[in-house]
Amino acid sequence: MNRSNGRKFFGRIVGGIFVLLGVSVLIFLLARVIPGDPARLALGPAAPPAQVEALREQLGLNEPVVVQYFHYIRQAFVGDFGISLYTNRPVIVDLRDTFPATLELVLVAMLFVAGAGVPLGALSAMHRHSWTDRVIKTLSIFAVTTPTFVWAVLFMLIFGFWLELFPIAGRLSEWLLPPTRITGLYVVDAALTGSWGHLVDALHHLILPAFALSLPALGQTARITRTSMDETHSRPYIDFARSYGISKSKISFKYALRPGSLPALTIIGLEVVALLGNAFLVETVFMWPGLARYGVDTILYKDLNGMMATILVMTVFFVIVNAFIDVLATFVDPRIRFGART
Amino acid sequence: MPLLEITGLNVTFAGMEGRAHTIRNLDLSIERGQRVALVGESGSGKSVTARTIMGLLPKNRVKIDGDIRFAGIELNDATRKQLLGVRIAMVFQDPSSTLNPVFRIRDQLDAIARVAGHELDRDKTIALLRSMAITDPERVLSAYPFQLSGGMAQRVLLSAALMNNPELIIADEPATALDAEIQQRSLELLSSASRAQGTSVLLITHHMGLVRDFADIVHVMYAGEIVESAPVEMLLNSPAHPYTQLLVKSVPRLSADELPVGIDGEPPDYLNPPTGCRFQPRCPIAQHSCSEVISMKILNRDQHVRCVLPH
Amino acid sequence: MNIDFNRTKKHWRRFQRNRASVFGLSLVVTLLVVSTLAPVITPYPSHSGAFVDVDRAYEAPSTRHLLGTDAVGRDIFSRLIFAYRTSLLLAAVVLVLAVPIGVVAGLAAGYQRGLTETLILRVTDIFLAIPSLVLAMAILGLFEPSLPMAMVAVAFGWWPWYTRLVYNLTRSIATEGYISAARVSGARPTRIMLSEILPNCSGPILTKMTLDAGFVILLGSSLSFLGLGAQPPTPDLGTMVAQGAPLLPDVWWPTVSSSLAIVIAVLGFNLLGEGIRDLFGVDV
Repeated sequence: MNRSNGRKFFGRIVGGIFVLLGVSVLIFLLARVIPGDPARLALGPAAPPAQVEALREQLGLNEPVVVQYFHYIRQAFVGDFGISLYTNRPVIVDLRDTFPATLELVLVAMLFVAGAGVPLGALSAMHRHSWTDRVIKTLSIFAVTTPTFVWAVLFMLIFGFWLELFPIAGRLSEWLLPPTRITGLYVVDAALTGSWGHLVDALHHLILPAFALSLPALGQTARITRTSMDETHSRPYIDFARSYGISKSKISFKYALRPGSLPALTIIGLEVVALLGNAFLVETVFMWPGLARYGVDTILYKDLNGMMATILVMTVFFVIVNAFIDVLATFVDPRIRFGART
Repeated sequence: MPLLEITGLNVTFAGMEGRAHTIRNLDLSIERGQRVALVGESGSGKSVTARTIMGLLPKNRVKIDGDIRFAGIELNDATRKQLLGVRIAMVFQDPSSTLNPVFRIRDQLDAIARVAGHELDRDKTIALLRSMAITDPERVLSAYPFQLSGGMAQRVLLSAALMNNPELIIADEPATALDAEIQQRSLELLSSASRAQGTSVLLITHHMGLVRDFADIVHVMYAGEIVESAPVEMLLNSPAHPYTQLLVKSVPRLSADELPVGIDGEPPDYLNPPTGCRFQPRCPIAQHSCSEVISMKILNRDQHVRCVLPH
Repeated sequence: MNIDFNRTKKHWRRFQRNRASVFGLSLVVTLLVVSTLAPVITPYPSHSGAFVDVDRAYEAPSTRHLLGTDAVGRDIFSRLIFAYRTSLLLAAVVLVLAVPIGVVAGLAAGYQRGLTETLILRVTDIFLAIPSLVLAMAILGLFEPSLPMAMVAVAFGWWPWYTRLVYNLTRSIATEGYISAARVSGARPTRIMLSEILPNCSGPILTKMTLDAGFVILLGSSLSFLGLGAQPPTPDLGTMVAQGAPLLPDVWWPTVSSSLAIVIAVLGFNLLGEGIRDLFGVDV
């Protein structure tokens, strides 16, 4: 990576931090704008006013908003996100318990998106206007336009109930204890500790929700890749390859695929955001004990601490993924790597 | 036996607005070691001819009639697989868009080498690049296309074409997108390399001025038809077809007293071409008999012309 | 305002060639007509409100109830049509709120440059970092969920997309010759932005609005699926899916019909939007 790329990358990180702070301000302000008194909400309608006032003092709710905000940020830096009204535990503990579950789900979903979306789009372009193409295009459109919760419910019904191929709730079968915690990701932990039974069971539970989660992004990736591959195939350098008698399959899978898959890469950042949003739905339907379901519950419970921490963690994840995508793009497209003027 | 022989080529494009009879009754042959120029204005069908030979036209919209033979072998999908890249190579017009932007030069040259059935011979390739006046071949090999200048990329394209020692090179308006000087230089390189190996060249260009130094035989193309064929000196000194005459007059010359004259009018609509001579609407000496189908006449021994008028 | 009829006819003919887009258009038009005429054409308009007839609960689809009845005996078909009203209203209001704000911000950022640009872009980035669903959920969870609140919540997260779109367009248009000409002739920035730049953005903006109508409906149904949208007894597509889910697989018709209803709406706007995009040849 040369100097200008390093500088750009640094700029992205700085921008990311700025975004993170901005999100924290936004959420903090929203939380402080709500009608009602957080202390009163916590203690319930029957509590005496003196007790409510005491809690308000303790939570620092009488201070000016700016002071409250800085207090919050300072605490957040050391990992103290307050106590969750919903679980009555430190939020950081809740995060530690739930985040790996969501991470696993999102990672596997992204695998589906990239691993199936791009090849399907390429296949579709290769056999333009054939039945393969039409089927893939139709499925992609439905993947994009159908709400994730519908897919989730549908999959539960078909694969969970009728065909009974996959489990429909939780991360592991009830009779199993989680593998020794190293990362919190059951699949990884099971692999690291060599417990193959755990590995298979965890994967078995992962597949259905991850697939449901991946569908909108998968469909979109397939569509974008198809359009891009179509365009790539009409480029002069493909004619160049053909003029040297290079085989059609080699052209499709190597010389057209690499430049043609770039647009899909650039939208992955956006797709991660959408994926995180949809995770809330999937985790609710599949009763997946992840951060997103925790987020839904804290919102319904009006647990401000839990809610804010959830959103912040998701934003951090988003910023990191975007930075990662930028780095990846530099490696895949040499024009970016060497700073070519397009 | 000629190296390349095209007989009675007719190419029709089917589009939304109708059928365009783009190439009509084209005959062309190239002998071994011969350099042939195909000259015509844009839209005259010269690129289409080249692409037809290479099989690069989209199959579903195009109808091709006629016979194309290379070294006696009829060119079709199966035979092209063997011949393309090995015995026939093409040099395209714009080097910056012809090379794949996300692959290094050496990878792309390696792919071409593999078509001939072997891996890239680094030393031989470096020698080849050097002979193409590329001063830093190692750097070029490990570079990406956008890191090369236009002229450099053009020379890489030429090297790629020459790599497998083809018997025929088709150069479709090489380096037209670049400076005149680079274009000149490219042709010189192609000229010397092909002479050294006895390679036949089909040069496709709209620039009449280039053919004097380069070609042995010139075919002049108008609206999808060859209207005149002759050895280069004969064509430039005594052009027989009215179109050729106008073309020759339009080449700017530093030694001339007057400015070159353009040609009035527009090329015909391929959807509804005239039945007879396609140049008739623009021809300064057109006659009634021009509306009938005209075949090639032999003027003197080597000059052929498609025109009704006696010369 | 003079409408160029010939150009419109030409556009229409080009549009017609794409069968999928025409299909999308017909879906959207049907939905609009049907939901506008809802009280008149539905077989059981009273079922759209608080109506209970326990004897008729869980009836399978029949000639009397085209899509069957739900848990309290209401006709699902009628409720779906009224639910479309809710969804289309949501889409309309969200876009009416979000688009002007987003477009103005994008114009200002793209044309004025400098501090305005940086400020607006940073704020846009912040909003785009949070998934729209999450932001809307947070707002709705903090305040009381209702249809008007949902409209505001979704719009709150939607405007930055238009800012980004218009910003990019403005950046490239602002370098065109006629903009410099306008500027040199003394036109005020606001005038330039509104009468020179904005019309050139209209194609992509319109395309995006059409596509977004579908996605807003999608988002809205997700919110109401979680209980954060229009509250019962108001019929709402997402809510109906959620209400039908526990009844699966025996009583399948509430969930399946409301799910299909959502897909039809989103699909219609999606196909229509893609058709419009092809028409303008734009890169949204």
